Amino acid sequence: MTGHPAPGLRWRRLLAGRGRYLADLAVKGAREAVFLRSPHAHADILSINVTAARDAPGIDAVFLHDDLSKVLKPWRGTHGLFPGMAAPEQSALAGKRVRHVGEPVAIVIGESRSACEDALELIDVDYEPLPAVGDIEAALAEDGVPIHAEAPGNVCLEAEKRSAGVDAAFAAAELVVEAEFCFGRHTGIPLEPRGLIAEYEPGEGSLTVHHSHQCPAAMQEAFAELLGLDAHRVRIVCPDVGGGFGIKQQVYADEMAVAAAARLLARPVRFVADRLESMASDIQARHHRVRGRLALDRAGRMLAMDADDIHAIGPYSQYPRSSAGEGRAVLSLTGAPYALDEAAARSRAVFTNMGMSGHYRGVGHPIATAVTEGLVDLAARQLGADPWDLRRRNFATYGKDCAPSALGVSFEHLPFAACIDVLEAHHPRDALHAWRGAARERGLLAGYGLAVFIEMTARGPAFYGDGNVRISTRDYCTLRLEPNGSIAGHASVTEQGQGVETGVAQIVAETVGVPLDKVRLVTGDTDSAGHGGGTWGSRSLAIGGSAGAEAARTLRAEIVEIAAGLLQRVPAELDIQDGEIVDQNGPSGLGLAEIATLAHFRPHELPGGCQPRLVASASFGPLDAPFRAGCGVQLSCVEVDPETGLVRPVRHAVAHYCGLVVNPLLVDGQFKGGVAQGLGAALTEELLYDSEGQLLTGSLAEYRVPMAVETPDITVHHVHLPGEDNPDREALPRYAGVGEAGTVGASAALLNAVNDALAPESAALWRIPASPQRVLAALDPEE
Amino acid sequence: MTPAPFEYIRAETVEEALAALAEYGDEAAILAGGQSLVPMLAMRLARPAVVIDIGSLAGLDHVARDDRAVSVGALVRHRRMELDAEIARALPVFAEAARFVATPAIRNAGTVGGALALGDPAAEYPAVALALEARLRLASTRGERCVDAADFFIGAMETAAAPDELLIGIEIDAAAPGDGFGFYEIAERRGDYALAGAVIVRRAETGTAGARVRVAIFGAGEVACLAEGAAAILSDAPAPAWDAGLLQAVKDATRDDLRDLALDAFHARLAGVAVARAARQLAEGEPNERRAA
Repeated sequence: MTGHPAPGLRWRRLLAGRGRYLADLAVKGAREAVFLRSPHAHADILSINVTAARDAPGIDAVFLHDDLSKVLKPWRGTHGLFPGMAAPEQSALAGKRVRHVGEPVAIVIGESRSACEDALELIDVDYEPLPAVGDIEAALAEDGVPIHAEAPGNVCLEAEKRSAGVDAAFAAAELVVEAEFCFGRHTGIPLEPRGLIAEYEPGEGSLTVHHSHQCPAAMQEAFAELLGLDAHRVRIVCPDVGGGFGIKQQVYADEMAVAAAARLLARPVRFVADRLESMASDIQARHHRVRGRLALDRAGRMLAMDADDIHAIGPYSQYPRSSAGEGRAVLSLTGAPYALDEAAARSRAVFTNMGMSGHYRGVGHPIATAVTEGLVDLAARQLGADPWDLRRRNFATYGKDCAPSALGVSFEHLPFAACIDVLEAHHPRDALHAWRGAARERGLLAGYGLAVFIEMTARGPAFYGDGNVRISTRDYCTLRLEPNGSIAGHASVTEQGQGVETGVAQIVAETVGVPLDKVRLVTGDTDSAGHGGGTWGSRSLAIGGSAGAEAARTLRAEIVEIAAGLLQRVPAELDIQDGEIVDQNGPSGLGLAEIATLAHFRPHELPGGCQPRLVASASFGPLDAPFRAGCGVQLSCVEVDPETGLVRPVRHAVAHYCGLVVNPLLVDGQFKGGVAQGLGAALTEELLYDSEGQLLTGSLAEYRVPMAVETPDITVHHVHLPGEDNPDREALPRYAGVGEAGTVGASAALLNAVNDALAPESAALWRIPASPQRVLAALDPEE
Repeated sequence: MTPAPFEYIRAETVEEALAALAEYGDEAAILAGGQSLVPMLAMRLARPAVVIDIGSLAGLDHVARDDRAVSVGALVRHRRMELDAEIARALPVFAEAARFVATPAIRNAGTVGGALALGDPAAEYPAVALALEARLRLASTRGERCVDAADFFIGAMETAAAPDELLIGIEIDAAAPGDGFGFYEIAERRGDYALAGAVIVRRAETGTAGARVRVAIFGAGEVACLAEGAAAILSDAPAPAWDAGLLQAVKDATRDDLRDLALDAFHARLAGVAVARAARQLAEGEPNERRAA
């Protein structure tokens, strides 16, 4: 069952257009909410007049900051592990000052979106514009505008790791390569925009939120905390969710305002973000400038790496996870695939008057990967070394009894060499060189690039838990034997289309010993599933699957025990296969349906007078390691048109290791989608702001995500280690997540491929997206 | 993203549409395929008091040919321009350009008249109309008139149509033996508005060995425009003589032509590339890279 490419259990329904997304839910009496958003990046609010809007047809209420603050607390995105982090207070609606374009200023509630949008135009706000911070340089400028009095230099968080001998290593090195890398500002663009319906019941003090979200349990905590409610009276239900990518992992000011409005009005309020406001208000990510250096000896041994990163967040630290995550990945993963003697990394997150910044698929991993792998290719060119060989020569050895990375991170065994061997076996360098040569003969610039990546997945409690951030790193599963012999249950993993529900069901089916179609899991409801992390950090199959396996083992043991009593055998002689009790001679004639019928309807016939439970729960989270790591190597092949600067990716391949592959179809899907997002980031996607903090890419006509026709064929090769294919059913198998791995390495591989293509022209480009303008400027700096 | 309130009028005949236009003038917007107007309404970028829907009126969806010219009704959809056999024979460059308009779903709904009347500088049809010397038929309650494409596209989203006039169709001389065309569009994604594009139409001069070449540019400037200098070079040399040196001259000439018209040097540069590639296609009879329809 595991290892089987089962299609996602929801896919047939979703592909038939029968999804039930947030906007599809019919809630009696629900009103619609619309936001007045700031047109200024930075301005004082002198006055707001809402009289005409309140009187407009179909309008129930217009609330401002002071109205909501009666029932809703402000918040700060602090993190206990970073006491020095500046985390200014944020509220659902701006009070006296706005700090980014799109910041909510007023919420209008009425009978329809249309009526509310008409009323929006009647609100009169008198703004006094202030100088704005619209780019990284302005944030750190000597005479820069401070966005918060409590952070006069606009630095949210500075963190650094530095091994003792790093300066000496660079000073003594025979070769030091260096580059400045620039990464555009990106966002995730789930097909279904954000949305929620909040219902407050004053008679119970209870709140029910139907929410297009990845982490219902975390939202239960957030709504309870900020609205002053008992968390056990807050229920979050996620219907079908049309994509998340981290964008729906956060607490949003506008969504908190909707819940507060529902509480004030005591009637259901729905908000579904439209595409335009999503561009300005969805979480944004990346946007780094990194100075990187790599020291080697002439023989091509890597000695030391150094990265100095500046990361432009928005005007606040993101609540509740904080804005420490991207920089932390840079501090953990720079140079990590390689055996370095020394390393240093510094990261500064700086406040800007751009949109809110948070966690998008990969969270800092793509930055560290692109810097590391770009420097490796730069070194290969300077040494005249082959990029495959230079990598192979320097791979780090991790695992039990091995030293941590030069930046002090301990990894489990990671089979870099096996991955690059598999990749090269499928895509031999001779063939790549022949293809590249042929393309160059056709007048194109062509090149290929490699990127070795590590993905840190399935985190344990060491980051959020120890940082006093109430984000669970555990997952939960309850399973029952139903009267018809099937297995039904609840799990705290959540679906956004990726199919994790299917993966957990496969593990449950295999562990109990029933066909997959005999398992049905309900997810996404805090009233039924126990408190669990949901979807983030490529965790849900690795952790939620383990919880499912634990619960299934307990349930299976009870079923076997009952069967043993009925068959007058000892449990150790029996097993469950395909829903039947079997012994060493084959089927016993007793099936789960018969056992369930007895247990549910004629329990007095069970031997021994026992009370059948036939329900088992388990909660699981990593205790032993801070994370589970996966790794791999990506290959990108591109053609660059030297006259237009257009970059066309023609092929992409991934060889990866993630422990046991539960469902290769789902893993392939994660990689292909992840790679597509990474290629989009590297080629066409960029949120552009002008120096005044105005968003220039306000729609999908300007923020260009890759389409199917532009996305090359993506081949995924699963690398297995000997002995992992047949896991012991009694032991917890080792799963690593794969949700972000495609994105983590794709941009890096593509950027290296572009530079391989540009190399014969003595040109280089260390900036993504590699737009035609930038490629032409790299080719022809005089123009 | 919901429109501001407007009054909706569904015109059943051209006369009804013209009467409504006469009444409301620049307060009114014409709705045909809706592929540009509806998003602009939803974003409240367009705020007409009245929307006059001509999408279902009869009589403007013809493709007709006489011995000289082809007449195309304003309500003919892009998809038909792409696939129609008569268009392929008589106006092959139009059929080619239609394949580059957005995506099939949009091409199924959007109309020739809508795309021309909008005057979007990044769209394909205004440049095609310029290169083909199309005549645009405008109607109002005051009567009908024909405007040459060269006089129609005035600025970004700005045309010579008066507020009470409706574009009802276009007329274009059909391709004759010896004519040729090139079409090249540079865009980051298929279906995107072009960064730059070029339409070249070569008309054989009857009774002589010479030919007249027109070069039109889209995407690179505030308005679709002709590149006269590039066209002059191509007119002066027979197509088989269009070698690399001449194409480089065409590229440079295009950039000169666009000196004051292009958005910036990058767009002027790409326009030059587009013209040179369209010219090479014309010279070599090289088929455009076919894209999935």
